[in-house]
Amino acid sequence: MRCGRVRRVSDGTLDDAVLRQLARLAQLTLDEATLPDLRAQLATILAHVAKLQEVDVVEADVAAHAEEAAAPLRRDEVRPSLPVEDALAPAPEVFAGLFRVPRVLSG
Amino acid sequence: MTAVRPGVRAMLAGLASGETTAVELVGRCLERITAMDPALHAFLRLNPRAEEEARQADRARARGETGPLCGIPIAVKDNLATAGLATTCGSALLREFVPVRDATAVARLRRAGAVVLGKTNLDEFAMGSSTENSAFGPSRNPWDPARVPGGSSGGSAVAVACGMVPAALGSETGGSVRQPAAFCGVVGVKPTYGRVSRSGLVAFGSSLDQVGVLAGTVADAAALLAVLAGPDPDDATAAARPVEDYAGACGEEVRGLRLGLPREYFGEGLAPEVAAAAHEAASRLAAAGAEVSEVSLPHTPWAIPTYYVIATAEASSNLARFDGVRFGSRVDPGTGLQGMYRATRGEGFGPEVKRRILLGTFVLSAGYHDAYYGRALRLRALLRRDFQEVFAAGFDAVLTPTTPTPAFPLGEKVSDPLSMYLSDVYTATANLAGLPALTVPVGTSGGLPVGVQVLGPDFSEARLFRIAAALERTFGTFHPPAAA
Repeated sequence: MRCGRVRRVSDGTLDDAVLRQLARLAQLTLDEATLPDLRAQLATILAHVAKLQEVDVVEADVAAHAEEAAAPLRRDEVRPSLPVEDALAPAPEVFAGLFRVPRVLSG
Repeated sequence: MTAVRPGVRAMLAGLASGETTAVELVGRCLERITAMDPALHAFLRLNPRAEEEARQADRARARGETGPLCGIPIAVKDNLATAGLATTCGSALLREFVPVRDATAVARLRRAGAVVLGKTNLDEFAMGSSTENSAFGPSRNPWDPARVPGGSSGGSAVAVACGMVPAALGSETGGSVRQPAAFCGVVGVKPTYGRVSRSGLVAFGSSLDQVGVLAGTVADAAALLAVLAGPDPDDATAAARPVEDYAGACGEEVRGLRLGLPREYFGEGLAPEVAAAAHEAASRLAAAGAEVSEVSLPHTPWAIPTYYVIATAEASSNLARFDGVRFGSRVDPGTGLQGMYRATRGEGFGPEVKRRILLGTFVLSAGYHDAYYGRALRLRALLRRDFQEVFAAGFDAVLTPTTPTPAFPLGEKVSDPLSMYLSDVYTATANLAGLPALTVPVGTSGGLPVGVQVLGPDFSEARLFRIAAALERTFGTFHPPAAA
């Protein structure tokens, strides 16, 4: 969920500590029993993704993709937004017209 | 049970002549679903109001108010929002989520008079190529229930192949309409990025996602896309450019068109029978007057690594919204806000979604961003440039196999994610380059359907329908034994 610094490992693969750190950044709990398989799967995928390093990409312009073909502008006009009651309808917990979350600060 | 697979146009003709009613059509579709779906699991949920909506369509027709799809039952992939009808994305986290509004694509279907019959199964959050990643169990291929229907729009492909509905909506991020369409022997269309509004499509990879269509015939797919395409104030990437005459294009000949066969799509990993089917398709188009020759798209070998960096990076960001606060279920172990986030997501997401979120978080993290994400963006531009150079050289479209093999057995690739990812090797390029692409069945091998895809320049959907219709005229349509 948040971009953060991950301890860099020399061969670009992941150990369990890095995996746990990624899980914290991604706000995920992981079942410890699944870590060995998960680490092996991600290592295989990253080894394949490492093929990206084979190509000379210096001349490529990152902006040259399909969105340029679309992306029209619309008038800068105020339009109705989602009514509060509709926005709150699918929420697990609401209180006084607000999304209710667990306590953030103790005390 | 009706023995044939009726299409959109046949249904419209029956409705126009008074031979049938929308209520009857919905009843026939439900009859097929009752008979076939327990073994195949195409649907996650049926619309309890479908019959009432069909009755409204019949009343509208009686008043002379007929939209282009008035009374036609359509299925919708369960990652497109449907007001008042649960939209789960195949995830336990959204098991009870009921949207308050329709996705634009769904709203346009309804405005055209279509009846939303139900919501179809998919890999969780559209992440997968087999529909085995659904939290609600896999769908099965009607040609061989021991095999996958493809994914992620597997439920839609099964529903169309079996005639449970004449057409369905799907979505694509890396081939999720075309791959299951090819595996199930139906037509699948991935429009140009921006041709159809993404508003109300639950986001996976926003720069790649596009709503698509699955249908039994090319002309039926064209009829649906004509209703869906066009600008939308709710999606800034939906293009304003006029929608072409797709139906008219289906009747045009291919004489004079120049088609390229990219040599990189005919190499290692391609099953001989699929290669033979694609070459036969090229031969028949040549016999119909098209000029076919080999071309090169040299960066193709890097499409899958590029795709799995960009798609996972975008997914890790997009799926941050599923945190137990605004929608979906919540798991609160009583350890504060962060604990609630982690428990909700940890219990709510399945293994593949977690894998992709972790991978996306990794490739975006400081120290790795430039080596992975930055480089993948540049590769993506090179992949697009490959196609632009072929089209600039005078080619109207390229023709390739849709998938490297026919449908594979259930369970074969579940524990080997990379092997599963590689089944998208021919489809992900169109998403990365933003181009339109269409798959059409051209034969069977070992009792399983085989498809070829046609890719063209931005907004060349009419041309793709023209080529696909020519293929359909020579090869016919393909029906699984159970639905024949």
